[in-house]
Amino acid sequence: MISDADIIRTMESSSEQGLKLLMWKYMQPVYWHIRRLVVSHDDAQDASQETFVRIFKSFGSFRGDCSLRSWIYRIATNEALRAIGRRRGGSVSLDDDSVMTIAADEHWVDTGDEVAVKLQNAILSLPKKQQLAFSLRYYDELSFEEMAKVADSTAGSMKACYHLAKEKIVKYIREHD
Amino acid sequence: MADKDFDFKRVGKRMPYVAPDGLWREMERNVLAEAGMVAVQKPKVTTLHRKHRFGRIVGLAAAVAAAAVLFWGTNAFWRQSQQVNLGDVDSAFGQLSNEDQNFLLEAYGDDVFLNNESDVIKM
Repeated sequence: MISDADIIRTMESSSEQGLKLLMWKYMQPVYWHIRRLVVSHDDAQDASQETFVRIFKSFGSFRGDCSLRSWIYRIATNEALRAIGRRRGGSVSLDDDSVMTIAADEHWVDTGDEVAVKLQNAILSLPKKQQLAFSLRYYDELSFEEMAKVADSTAGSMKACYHLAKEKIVKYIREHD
Repeated sequence: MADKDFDFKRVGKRMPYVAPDGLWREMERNVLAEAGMVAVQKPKVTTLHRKHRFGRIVGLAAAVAAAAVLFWGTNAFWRQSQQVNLGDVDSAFGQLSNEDQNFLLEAYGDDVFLNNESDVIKM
């Protein structure tokens, strides 16, 4: 597995090769991270692509005061929130607590996997910050410190968000059984 | 604990979301194009190649046309000059004495190149 340090070094010597390496490692994690937040495949694809273009264009501003992974997920999260905002015709922040759900006619969703659909709907019912905390920890296995960098928060706050999210998910599933 | 109510291991990291075939390749292509690495460079290269290829075809066609014109012109000129030369030779031959004519006929009558020359011109 290629390391983030290798990606940074390559980006500095050859931006094209660096971007390719970065996409090779992060394309799928970024897409799925955004997809879990926005649900729509089209929006997820657009936001993912925009994420990598932004990473490429603003790589010079990456100072290394957080991990490359945190920086990438931060940009991806911003793009996901922007995509949700575009859908709603307004801006959306991590303080947003509106409930989302997977539509029955949503494209590129295996609605036959009922348990998986229920878990995602439970996650989508959470406020955005808790969604983010659960997703980053459960699916992407980020440390609470890395999560704090993504959400511009503290590790303690992210830990609390994660555990609260987990409890709410369990409650949601129990109520929708 | 709430975890006892729902076993996350039942689902694990499985999601109901599906990605279309070829998505990753398409996304990479789109990002590289947007970053000005593929879409900007490739067409330029292609355009240059096309221009070069078109130039080569035009040049080749012009060369073929020029060669055809040159061949046709040279051949026609050569035929004409051959006819003129042969007429001159006939008239010069007619002005020779009988002895000289007989000598030339004896000396060159069996010459393969001279006798076949008329055939070559006819072709």
